[in-house]
Amino acid sequence: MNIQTVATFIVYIGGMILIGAMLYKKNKSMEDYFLAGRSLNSFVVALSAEASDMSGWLLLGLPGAAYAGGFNAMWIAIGLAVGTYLNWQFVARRLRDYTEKVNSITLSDYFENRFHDKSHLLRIISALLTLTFFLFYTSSGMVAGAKLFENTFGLSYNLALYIGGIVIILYTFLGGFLAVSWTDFFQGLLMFVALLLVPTFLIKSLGGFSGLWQELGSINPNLLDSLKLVNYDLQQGVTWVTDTSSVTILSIISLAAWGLGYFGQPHILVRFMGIRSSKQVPKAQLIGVVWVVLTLLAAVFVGVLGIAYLDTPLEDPETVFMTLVEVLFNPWIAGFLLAAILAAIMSTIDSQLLVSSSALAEDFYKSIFRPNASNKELMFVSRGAVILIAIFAMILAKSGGSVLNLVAYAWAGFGATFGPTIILSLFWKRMTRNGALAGMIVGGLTVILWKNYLSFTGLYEIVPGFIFSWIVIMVVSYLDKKPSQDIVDEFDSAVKNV
Amino acid sequence: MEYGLTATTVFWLFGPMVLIIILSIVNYALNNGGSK
Repeated sequence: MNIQTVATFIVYIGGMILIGAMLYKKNKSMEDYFLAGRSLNSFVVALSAEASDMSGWLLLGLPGAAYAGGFNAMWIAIGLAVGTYLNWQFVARRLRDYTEKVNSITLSDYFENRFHDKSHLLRIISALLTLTFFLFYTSSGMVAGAKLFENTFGLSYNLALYIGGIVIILYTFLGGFLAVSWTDFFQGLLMFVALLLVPTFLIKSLGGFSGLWQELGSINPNLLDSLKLVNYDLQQGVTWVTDTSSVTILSIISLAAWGLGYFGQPHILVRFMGIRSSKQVPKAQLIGVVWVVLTLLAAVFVGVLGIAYLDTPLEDPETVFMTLVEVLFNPWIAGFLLAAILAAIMSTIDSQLLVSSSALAEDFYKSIFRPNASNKELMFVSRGAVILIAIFAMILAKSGGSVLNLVAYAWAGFGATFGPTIILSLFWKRMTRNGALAGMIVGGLTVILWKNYLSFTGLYEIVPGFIFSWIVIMVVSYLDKKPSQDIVDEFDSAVKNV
Repeated sequence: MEYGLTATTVFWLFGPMVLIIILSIVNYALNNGGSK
């Protein structure tokens, strides 16, 4: 470790905690703490939505995949870019207006109020699923953060885990959604700058794009072909050898299907609810989409440029971004760019912690046990819930494990459980409470069962989960009796402006 | 020998990316034009 990098990290972390502390007193109600009182402008919403979405995966996983396999890695980037666009285009405005109309600050809140569900079943089941999937998701982020600290500072894994965990708890605890949105906004800027700077620097030193193609082509021309598989495994002595099996339609669908997950990710959807007005959505969409497209492209290029630029093959492809940064830049700048990885990890975890805390405080504590609790009491419970959930996630993270597997599972779980329910509830008046309930349960179960028993098919579990859930919602809703006139009128008035 | 990105890679990598940026710009322009 060197002192400059440590100094940059400390300044950066201090800044994030300062934002949390400055915004501490701004939170007077649950709507303030969890939605920033629906007061955010389009820039903050756009960047915080994208930064919450993109975890350490964007700076480690995707460049790593491109480093190991060339342009085949682009399929997942395309799926994510298209999913982001569709989510902004179809879900953002309606969800913003509908949740305000029915006075909801969490997704579970929204489901209950959208279908006038007096039994609390929709709320309880959706909140339980949210807590379960987020526990894994959050702990995967903590594992990634601990690995970063471990590698950068040479700390022990456990110490690294505690330090990272405490920083995240501090500013989420203090500032709530407002602090998380603002810190995410800055973290989003940092990620953007870091990801674009590295390839820009490299492409010049390699003699432009033609130099890059030349270099890659001489290593293995199939790296330039998105329909060819190239294998990489340094421990087995395999470096960029063409795989004889060709890319199948199924594998492309599986990668691109990541995009389907967007419609059901609570930590991203909740950003849409915090925007000042649904009229701001098109501007936020433009900013968000440009951010996503450019960072995804840059991340793929970081990987392929790493193949051409680095002389010795990397043991772990996922360290390609870190290695390039250390080789290319002065330690002060390098510290700043490495902090972008931390930014990516933290901006995702803080949002997830906050949503989990809202599920505990709003959906369980307030709705079921203490309907008449004061704002002060609820704020106390919400903040306590942040600490409680973070501690559970840290305990789970202590055993380490594969980050990517956990993320893929949670992503599919949310996408299939909530995705079709969200879309249909915003677009289809005829949908009923029982349809929603059946859709969520079938979506979630399909993901769990497919992952455990049918993963040999090679199809990513989100595909069957999403489709089955969609079908079940439609079938059950049609068999059910029609929703009451109140609900239909409410639907019409909620979506009349979009 | 000259190497370059294959046609499929270029088409699929840049096609959707450019398209969604254009659509977002059009969407923004339409919405803003309407409200002023």
